[in-house]
Amino acid sequence: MSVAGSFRVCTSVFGCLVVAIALWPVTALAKENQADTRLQKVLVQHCSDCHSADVQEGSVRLDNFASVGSARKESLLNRIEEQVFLGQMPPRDAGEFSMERQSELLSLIQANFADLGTTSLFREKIKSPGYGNYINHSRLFSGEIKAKAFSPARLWRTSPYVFDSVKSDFGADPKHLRQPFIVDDKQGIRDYASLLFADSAVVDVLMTNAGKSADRLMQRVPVYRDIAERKESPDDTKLAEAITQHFRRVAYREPTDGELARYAGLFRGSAKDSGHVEALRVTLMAVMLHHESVYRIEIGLGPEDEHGRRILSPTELAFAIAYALTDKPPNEVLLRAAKSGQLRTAADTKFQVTRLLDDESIQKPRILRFFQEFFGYVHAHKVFKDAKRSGGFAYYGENYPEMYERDADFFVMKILEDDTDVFRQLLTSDRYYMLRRQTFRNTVYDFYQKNKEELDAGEISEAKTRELLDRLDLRGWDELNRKYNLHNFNKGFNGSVRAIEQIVKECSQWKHTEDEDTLLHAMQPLYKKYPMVYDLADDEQDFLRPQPYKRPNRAGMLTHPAWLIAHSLNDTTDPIRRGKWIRERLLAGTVPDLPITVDATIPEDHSKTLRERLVVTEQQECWRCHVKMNPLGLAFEIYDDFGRYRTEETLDKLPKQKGEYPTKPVNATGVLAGTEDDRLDGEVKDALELIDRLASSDRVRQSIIRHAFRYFMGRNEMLTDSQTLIAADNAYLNSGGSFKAVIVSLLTSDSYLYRRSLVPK
Amino acid sequence: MPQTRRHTLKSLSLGAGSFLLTPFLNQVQLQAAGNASALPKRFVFVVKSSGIVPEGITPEPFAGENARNESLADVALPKSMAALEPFKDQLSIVQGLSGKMCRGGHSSWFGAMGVYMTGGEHDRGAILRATADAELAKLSPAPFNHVGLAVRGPALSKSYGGVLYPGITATAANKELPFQGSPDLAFEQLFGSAASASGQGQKRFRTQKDLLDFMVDDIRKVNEAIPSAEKNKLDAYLNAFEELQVRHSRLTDMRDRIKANAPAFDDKFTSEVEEVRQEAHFDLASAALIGGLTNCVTVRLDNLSTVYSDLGLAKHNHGIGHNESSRTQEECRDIIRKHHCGLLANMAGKLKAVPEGDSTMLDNTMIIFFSDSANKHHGDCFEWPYMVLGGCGGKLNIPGRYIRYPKYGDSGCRTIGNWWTTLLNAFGNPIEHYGNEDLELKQNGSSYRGPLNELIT
Repeated sequence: MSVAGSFRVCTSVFGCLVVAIALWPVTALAKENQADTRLQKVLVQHCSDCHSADVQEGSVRLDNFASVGSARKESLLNRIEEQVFLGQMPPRDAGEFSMERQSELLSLIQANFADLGTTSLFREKIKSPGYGNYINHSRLFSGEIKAKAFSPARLWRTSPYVFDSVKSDFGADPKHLRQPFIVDDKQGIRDYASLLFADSAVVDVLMTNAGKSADRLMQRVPVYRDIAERKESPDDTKLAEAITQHFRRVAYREPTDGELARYAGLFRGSAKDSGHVEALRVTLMAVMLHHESVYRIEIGLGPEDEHGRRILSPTELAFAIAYALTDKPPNEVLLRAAKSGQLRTAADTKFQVTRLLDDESIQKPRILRFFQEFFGYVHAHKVFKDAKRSGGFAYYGENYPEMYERDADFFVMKILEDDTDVFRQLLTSDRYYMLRRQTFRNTVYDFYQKNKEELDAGEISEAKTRELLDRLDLRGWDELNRKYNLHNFNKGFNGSVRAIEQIVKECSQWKHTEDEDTLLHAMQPLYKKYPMVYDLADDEQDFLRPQPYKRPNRAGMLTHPAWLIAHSLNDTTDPIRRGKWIRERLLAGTVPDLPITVDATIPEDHSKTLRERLVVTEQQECWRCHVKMNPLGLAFEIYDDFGRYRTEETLDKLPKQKGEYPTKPVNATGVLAGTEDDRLDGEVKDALELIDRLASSDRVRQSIIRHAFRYFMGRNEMLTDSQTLIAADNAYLNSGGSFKAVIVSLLTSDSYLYRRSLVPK
Repeated sequence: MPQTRRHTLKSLSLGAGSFLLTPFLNQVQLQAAGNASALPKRFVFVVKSSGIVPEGITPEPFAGENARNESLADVALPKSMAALEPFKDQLSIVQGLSGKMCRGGHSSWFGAMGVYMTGGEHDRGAILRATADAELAKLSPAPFNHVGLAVRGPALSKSYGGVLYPGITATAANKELPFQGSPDLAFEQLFGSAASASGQGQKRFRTQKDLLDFMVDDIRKVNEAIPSAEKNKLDAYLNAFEELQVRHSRLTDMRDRIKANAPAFDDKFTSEVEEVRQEAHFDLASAALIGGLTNCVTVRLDNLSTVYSDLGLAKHNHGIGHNESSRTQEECRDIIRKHHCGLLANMAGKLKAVPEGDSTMLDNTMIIFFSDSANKHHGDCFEWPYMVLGGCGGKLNIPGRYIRYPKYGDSGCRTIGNWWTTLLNAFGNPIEHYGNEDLELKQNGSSYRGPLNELIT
């Protein structure tokens, strides 16, 4: 730098200083009004007892907020926002902190983020499924929020189940098409529109699938085979027909002229260099990779209303309804309604949703799946159990937990069929099903023995077929596999004489016995220990007798072996996660993330019960969170980690004494807190009493409805969804506890029908 | 703050695949700058069916269950392994590691390289995580990050040819690696950019560029019409095709190298004889490694339906495992092992012939030969024998050694979880412990988490 230059700089700094001094009072005023200074004032007022120059709990000081650097500011803002949002801070014993005050503080925090030019990590985080309850429950159901509901305009990635159900239409052998749309295999509701992307991992699989489909179409379907086999290039009409046919398969609509022209351009360009066979192949692949096969578009193409929202267009709505209940795109009826202008309003939607729900011939797997995801019992097969410790819990050949999951499915399906007092039934019914392929086999065997003469003559009357269906509790053979999970080679069972005889043959061959009693009632040896988790001895089982089994010491899904195993660890129960589950799923509560500084291990002490070992979590710094979980989860200690009822806990890591492991009596007392109902909160003797009280709680009912909302909307609720949730809750109450009524209410709500007006250019 | 598209994408938690090419390109730059430590480490996983009986690969002086770590230099290999004598200094036999946390029987499915129990007799089961071979592939990226070649499909299936899913390798939870079952198709896919028997491969390679360009252009157009808040979703889709464009262009640049190393296309690649198909897959694997197309290949060598008729065996592997052959099971296994060792020796020879830095390509390669049913036809997983060929990039001190760990339950016994952790740690994945623990060992206080430190250089 030259001397002259240096001088100029000095002058200019000096100049600035003069200006700064002259403007001081104005700047101070501006500073006074700045978001950081205003926030600091509030923080000093409410937080300085624990976070000031003198005391810095958790190494956090807040009284100098406005003067720290921007990186520190951002980090503090994220921490403060989460604590305030959750109501964890200021602590309850620090005096009154009203909801209005909380809202003001949160707005101020947002203003600080805006000043820093950054966004809140916490706000991003609460979009994900684990943070749905961060929206205050009481406010949501208070009725005070009258805002008009909407969902954000969005692209929603194709569900893996939709892909599985439509892949056979893509042309290739469905066996050879792989699942591109994988969703995290975690507990809970996970198919959230805002979280799922079609990234490289998805495209890798899509490309392979697209190639497979193209190859097969070109071999088998005349319109493509013709093009592939001829020497000359196809004319425009033929090419357009080929493209259109595939486009319909993939995007369920006709291509626009512009789209047709682009695909034709791709074909002609590639054909020049590589010939029309390869050109056809890439063109078909390009069609299959069309973005509409990857994302469902829900941006609200209907007219805008006075609140700045746009209703879904009839076509968008047809897809939204179909995908809410089924794994298939809209059928002809829905599409026709959309085309003819009969799918424009909430009333139109109600008509179509009710029609679909009432039509038993249409499979609606999404309804059962909600309960699978909500309860999480379908994860039982992933928890590895040591067969030796259990006394016969088999993994080899058959996966027992997977079988318990099917039993639990059946438990849910029966309650949904009755559709009365659904949540209470799910939480308290002691009627379990052990319906599996052995039940199917034994029933068919018995049916054969009783109708031997007719069947041996090679005939079966319609009435008899009906009788067999009734005994199997089926409305038609299409339900068979869903309920009984048959082996692949039995899946084609259709009630014919030949099919019945085949099952009878297998029955006697596989049980290695001629004993009629065994053939009629028992399982194959492989499944012998299967009923043990229902507290049934080997010789107590009977797989023919009418079901359900009424089991003592059980109450609903949370004491079903599938749920208990899914919420257990490899070799112990899991009171903490069970408690967390109840706190979050049933009590709409929150448990903060485990602080990264905590080494969450339970001390090993083989002479103590798990409950005794968990005393370590009662230290002050742990108990703040654990009080929300342990007193709920410990009530389930009346079951071991295989889900068997017990009054004594086996200490199987101590040496055996006289051939037996030592035991200690089970203490399963717990405390229910958080129902906001004085009649229900309080100490409980065990899980059965806990569940009984939960089933009577308004908050539990509303919490399940909140989860149903998330499942059908594909997102967490916002405060603006308050009216939607209240309406769904009322629909449930007014219908005597019908889940169908909840579905109709949610799918006709503004939250479902409207999108905020983000209009495409 | 204005957000660029790439910035937005970076901040999203996208799947691992989206960064497929970035590490590869970094590595290419390092190698170009003459950085020797950046020489690629290569892995070949050869997975046979029906188990590897430990005695069959144990030199006579080392018979028995005593733990030991001895040099192979002065002992003769079993006769059936004679083909590997010239590579003895780069051969390792590792025995005694248990895998009781896996399903035994005809196949442990993904458990063999994923270290957990899954699957049933005909059911491949759940995919909990990326298997160890896929995790190792991620550490040594290449244009084709992980190549799967399969002579046959799942253990008990009859599937054969085309894209196969043998149920042994997963690139992530719930995501199985596709294997190519037809050597001629694999040839086109791997070498088609530069060499092709029919000209089809080069044509396809060219049209693939048309497709990628079309997709990129098409998605860009659509993205203009999408509300700004949702643009990142289509950006992710667009980005995936752009990455494939980069790979395409890399392969175009590598054309000469690919052409020079492509195997000569002959009848071998369309043969229906199992032994010849195996040879074809090995040729493809070797050439793909030498040509720089990949650094990781998993070969599903056979399954229980395979009949080694060219070797004079009339029964399929399943029949042999159930002692249905006119020969003893031991005789049959010797015959098959001799053939397998021939394939391994051939591959090792090819890699050894390629100089790389001060050493050869074999020095930077690890060929791991094992079975998805552990130690027997119906594996009980009490031990899981491994045969390793190659210098392992100097990361492990196992070449030229016979190593046997204490037997299951004894003090110092170790598991295949420790084995795969060792490999992952040695090659740059710092995972504390890979896979599930053995609960029974844990209960007895003899479970050990972490790598086999004594094997790491």
